[in-house]
Amino acid sequence: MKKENNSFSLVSPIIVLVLIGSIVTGALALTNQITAPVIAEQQAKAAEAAKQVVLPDGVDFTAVTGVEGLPAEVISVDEAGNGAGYVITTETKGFGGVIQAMFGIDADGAITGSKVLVQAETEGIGSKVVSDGSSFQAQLVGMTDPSNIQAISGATVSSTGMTNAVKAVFNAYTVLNGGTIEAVVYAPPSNMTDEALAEYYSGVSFTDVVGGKTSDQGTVVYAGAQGLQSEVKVAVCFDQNDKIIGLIVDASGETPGIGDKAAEKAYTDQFIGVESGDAVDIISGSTFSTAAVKDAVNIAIANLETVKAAPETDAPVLAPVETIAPVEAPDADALLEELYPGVSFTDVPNGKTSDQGTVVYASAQGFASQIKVTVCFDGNDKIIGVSADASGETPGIGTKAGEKEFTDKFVGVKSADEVDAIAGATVASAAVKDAVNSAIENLAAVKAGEGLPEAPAESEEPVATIAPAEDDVTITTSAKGFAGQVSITVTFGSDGVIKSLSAKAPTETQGIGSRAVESSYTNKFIGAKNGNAVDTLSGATLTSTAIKNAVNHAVKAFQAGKSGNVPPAPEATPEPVEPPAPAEDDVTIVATAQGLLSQITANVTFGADGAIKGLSVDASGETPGIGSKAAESSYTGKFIGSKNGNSVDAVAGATVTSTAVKNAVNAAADAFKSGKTGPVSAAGSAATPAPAETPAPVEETPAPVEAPAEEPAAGPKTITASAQGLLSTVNVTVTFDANGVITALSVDASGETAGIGSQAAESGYTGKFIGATNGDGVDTIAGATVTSTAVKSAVNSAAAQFKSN
Amino acid sequence: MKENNKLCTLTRGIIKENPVLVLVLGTCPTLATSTSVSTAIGMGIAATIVLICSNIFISLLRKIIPDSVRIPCYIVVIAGFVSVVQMLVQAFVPDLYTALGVYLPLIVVNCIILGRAEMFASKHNPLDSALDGVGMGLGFTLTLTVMATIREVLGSGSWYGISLPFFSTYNIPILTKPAGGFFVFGCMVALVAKITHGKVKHTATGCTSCPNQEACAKLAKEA
Repeated sequence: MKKENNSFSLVSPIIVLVLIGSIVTGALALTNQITAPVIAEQQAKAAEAAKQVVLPDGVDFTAVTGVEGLPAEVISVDEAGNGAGYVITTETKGFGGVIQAMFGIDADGAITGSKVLVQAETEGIGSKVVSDGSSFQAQLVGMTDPSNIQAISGATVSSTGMTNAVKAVFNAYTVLNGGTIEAVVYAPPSNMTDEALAEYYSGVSFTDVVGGKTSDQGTVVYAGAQGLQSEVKVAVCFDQNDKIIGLIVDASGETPGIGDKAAEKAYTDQFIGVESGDAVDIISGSTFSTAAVKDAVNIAIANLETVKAAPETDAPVLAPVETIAPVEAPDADALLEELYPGVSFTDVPNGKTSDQGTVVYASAQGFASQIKVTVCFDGNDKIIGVSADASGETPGIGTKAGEKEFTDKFVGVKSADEVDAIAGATVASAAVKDAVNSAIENLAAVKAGEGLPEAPAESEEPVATIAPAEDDVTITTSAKGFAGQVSITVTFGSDGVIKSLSAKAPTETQGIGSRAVESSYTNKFIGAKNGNAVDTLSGATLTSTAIKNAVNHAVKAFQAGKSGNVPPAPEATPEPVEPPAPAEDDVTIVATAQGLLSQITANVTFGADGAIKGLSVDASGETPGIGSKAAESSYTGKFIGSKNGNSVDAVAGATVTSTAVKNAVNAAADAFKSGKTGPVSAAGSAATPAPAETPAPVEETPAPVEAPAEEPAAGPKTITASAQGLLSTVNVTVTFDANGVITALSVDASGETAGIGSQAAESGYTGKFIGATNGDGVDTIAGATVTSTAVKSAVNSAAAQFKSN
Repeated sequence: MKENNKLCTLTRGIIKENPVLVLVLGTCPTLATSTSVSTAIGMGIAATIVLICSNIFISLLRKIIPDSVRIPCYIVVIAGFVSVVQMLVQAFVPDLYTALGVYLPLIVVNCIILGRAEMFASKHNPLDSALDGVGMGLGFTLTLTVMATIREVLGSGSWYGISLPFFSTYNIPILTKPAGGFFVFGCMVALVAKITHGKVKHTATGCTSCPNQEACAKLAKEA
């Protein structure tokens, strides 16, 4: 019985499972038989309906197969049975991945509709192009050639993907109607120079053919593919056995530092010897640009035989690029012919000169590329024509900035600012304006044939590059900044006005102090006669003050008739560089007062009437950037004219230090009144610390404040003491027994940060002091170091009082 | 007493033992299909049909199916029903088929169905199992609908695809995203936990005959 049960339990699972499986399978087969024809009909109807979305008049679609020469992007073609046209499905690359789209094209070759089937474009950006009924797709209806497609601004890559699809559709239509597609002829990359080629072919003389160069030693094939921002152009060098021996890539239109990696040799050399671009991986981070190189290599491989057999071209498609001029000469020969008929020009750096006028080249960064501009001036330096090469800009948008309609607006203007930017192509047209302005500025230099030391269009401040006039004086000096010397070079005009200023602060904090040496700050000095007129730079006070000091120092040197290198401005006398010589009856009193961290010293000069004529403060021991503000001339200047320090407010955030300055001034004023001239010290040198002062460094134990004296008595005794916490004075009340052991401790830290410093007042912490004789045995609280240290020092000071009593 | 028992079987799926909010089963399809009311109802009905069918079928087979292979058997049965439902939906309600997408075949692994097969149908007669399936299915559908209502009205400003005047202007798009789904889900779990906590205490005596009394009590305690 038991055995039988065992064998049954072994077999039964198998049988049951098989049975259930068979029954379910049977049920499924039955259902399938019923539903399959319905589903098939549904799907056919759906497919037909989908095709009718793009080709409403079409019925009875049948797939077209066996047509040779269709563009690679086309994945299927369906012909309407009633002759209404074709439905062409394409697959092109978008931003997020493949875009599969279906287009209807009627018998006359006009697009009737489009629908994107598969896409992974960015929601809200690329979706402007791929979503049903989008303006991009609406514009396609009725179109008979792809040249008028407007890309959607901001969705360039997705737009390009769709545009390529539309181009493929038109090409497919041509093929389907028995025509042939014109092969795309690629231009060589602009950086393909003879030298670059010489690296791969030594001593080979090439014949330029359509789409490449041929020789008995190998073939160069040009190709291009869409990168992220521009077309990445590639010249692929094949040896005579058709193996890839090198690549010349122009990815200059791609994102600097990211996409342009695709043009670096480290990447392009990976293609050497490969049979297909797919054998090389993309570079992570510059996916689009490197994928474009791969695509271009594949195109070049495919076109190799065509190029080998291609007809010779009369002239090279693109001349080797001129590398001497900082601004490349744009191709504007046609314009020159038109504007200066029969004039022979002399080539000079950045332009051409002639007796009939001057041509100046300039460039500026547009949206996707560097826009090169040629500005033609007549003999009277009036603009007679502008041509802009904006071919690297978004087709249909940025390229407008290169059109004659826009560039002609510059004719006759004195400054490009008179011309409005093109709405929708703001960046590109603003770049043209900038370039025209820089051309106007550079006109004189080009006329003189000097060229410019730097590419002017790229320099932010052309002022700095103006050649100094004869009587300008340039002085180089330095002053102490936050971390080191800040050196400056100032150019003064003959009238003492600062014409240019450049500063170097290699030792200052990068990103903070370094901002003070940027032209955005130093240019504020231009036009001034000294550094006082310019405000310090918030956050970079010490460094900008150093620049101001150095400028003032240079002004002194200039006034003294010096030029060239001048010794550094003396330290610790921030303002003025050299105090003006006191008048006969002026009295200078040196006073000191306690600041937050150190004694501050004030040099106060009083006039005979007791009014303050000058004040310089040394607060170098105070917190840099905070307490130190009280020593800046912007603050000390407020005292000038008053008779004491009371009328001047403290500096918010630097209360203690500025209060110390006020105290010192008052002490000096008192001394002046009493006829003293020697150094004085502010009464009660420990200035009352105000709340909201900068915390002292944590390591520093705040000095215990004198505790109120109590009557000495034997036995238990309660003593109150206080010490400076982070934000306020912490008061403690300590009860000692007759042996000096703490029996009770209460702490008032109510002025400290709630939840942090206040921890030091909680019994969990104060209880640790019970049983001890002083505060040393108790650890500080992590996170509330300053406040708990204050409690400890106050306890110690209370203990000291207990002992002394 | 007996009627009460049946009623208990039928209704407890709605709140007290709500499969989604109390048993926390089937979270994935809940979050995925509750972005719009139409898909939620479709998903709920499809899952309910499969649940009822598989419950009945498994209850019928409960004496035949050996313990050692019960899970594979349940899966085969459930998968069979799901495939049948899928084919029927595709053939006769193609719009719903597109809307439900991948979640329809995923009903196979919907833990509510396998969970009820394992917890209930394998221990009870077909009638009770069918009632349990109806109750659980109803609970699932209702939960999905309520959740989808919240998410669609507040997130997309529409209900069952009908645009609502105020909400379409001021909507909270994150609610249609997974994060918003989890948020609504969490709020509803908390709400139901609050409701059942009081109810179970109150009706504890009336449920003594309920076979799930033990589980009920345990759940109530945990909740």
